[in-house]
Amino acid sequence: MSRLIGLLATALAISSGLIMLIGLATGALSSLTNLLLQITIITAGMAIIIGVVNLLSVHLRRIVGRERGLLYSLALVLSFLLVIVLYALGADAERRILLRDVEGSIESALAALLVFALVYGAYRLMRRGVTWAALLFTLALLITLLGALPFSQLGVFGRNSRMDGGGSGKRRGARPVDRHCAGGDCRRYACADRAGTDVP
Amino acid sequence: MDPTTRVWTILIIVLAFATLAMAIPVARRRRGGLSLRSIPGYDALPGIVSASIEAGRPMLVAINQDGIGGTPTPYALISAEIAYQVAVRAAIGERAPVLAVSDVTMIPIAYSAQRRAVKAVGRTERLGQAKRVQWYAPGTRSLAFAAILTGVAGNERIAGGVYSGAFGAELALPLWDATNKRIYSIAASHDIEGQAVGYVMADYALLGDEFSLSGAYLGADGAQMGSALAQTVLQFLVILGLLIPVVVVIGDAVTSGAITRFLTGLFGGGG
Repeated sequence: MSRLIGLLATALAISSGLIMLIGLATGALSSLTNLLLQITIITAGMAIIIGVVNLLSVHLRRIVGRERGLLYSLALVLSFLLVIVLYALGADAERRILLRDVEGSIESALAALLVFALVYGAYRLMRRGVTWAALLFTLALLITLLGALPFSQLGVFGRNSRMDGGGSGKRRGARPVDRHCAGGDCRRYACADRAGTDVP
Repeated sequence: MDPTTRVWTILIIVLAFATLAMAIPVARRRRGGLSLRSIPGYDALPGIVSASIEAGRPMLVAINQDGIGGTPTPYALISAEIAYQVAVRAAIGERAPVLAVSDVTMIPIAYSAQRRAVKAVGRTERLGQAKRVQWYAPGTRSLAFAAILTGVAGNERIAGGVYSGAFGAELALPLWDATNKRIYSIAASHDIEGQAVGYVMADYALLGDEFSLSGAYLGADGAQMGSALAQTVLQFLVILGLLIPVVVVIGDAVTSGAITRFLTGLFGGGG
């Protein structure tokens, strides 16, 4: 029986692929290819439910079985439930705080940690021996790290750094208007144009 | 899709299929005659899995961002093949490998890889244990997924990790952790940044086309060898396709356009 199901699945996959290929090549069978695409999109959308079920089952099993990493699993399940409850209650502001402030801050911290990991990588590479490849990697790393520094906000490169905000930023001492304003996030970033005055 | 793109797409697909159709029988006929160059990552993988079995600890295969649907589909299938090859070697041991995926469409594929591996070594009584698939949402720039792998490595007490998929610079996090925990690591990213980081920080790194040769190296059946052969032929065709315009441009500059005139005459251009 399982062999038959396997054969059917293979036949279905090959025929779907061939139909899509013929549709791509000739432009014919457009209704059938559109139907297949829609089914694919719906299936991919449904797959997120499989993901959530998998996530919860893995971590609930760990909690119930009191396995190693129990506390992390507990934190994950509680966070998950909190987001679901906030969504159900319609508490958008709180949910945004969770997603933007908590998750954003953690990812920023991870990005900072990544720098240390990369520097350690460069050190490890150099310890093996100073080669052209090692030097090239270290140089690329340094350029990337320097490029990530906020020179434009510090005003290190003079006039251009004040031009980010267009008209209001041309005056000396004016803070460049943040790009966040475009997303309506002026409250958080206290943008100059929203407040009506320049931020020192 | 405009007609020109469509024609080129069809040509490329037909060429790839034709090359594959020719290469597989050749590879099957000359099975002993075809030799693959040594790739340290693939050479080391069976040893790392054996060490994990001896230690009674699982392997970790992390597949980042690759999933079914769209451009990453071929990468997803290659990553699934790597997962299967690790699982089939680990299936003789007590601990099935942990498969951590970040794309939801990879969950059933990862389960399937584990089940096929257990069946392949005839240990069907262990099918119930072939369920060690964990999904984690990747987050922006996959940093969250990369960070969570460090937690998975600690919780599961893994003996070795294969980091496959679209890892970028964030690959440094699990590799750093692997170094600190003295865990074997194989970086198999198809992203150029990930390859650079993997080359520096992993014990073994798969670079360039090495990523897509997992089946041929670790599986070594006729079809897989044929696909590796077809891939090599197609690579040479691409190189040729890049070199011809260069030769024509340089030749035209030296001979005052004689090569273009010759080619135009040859193919009857200009009516």
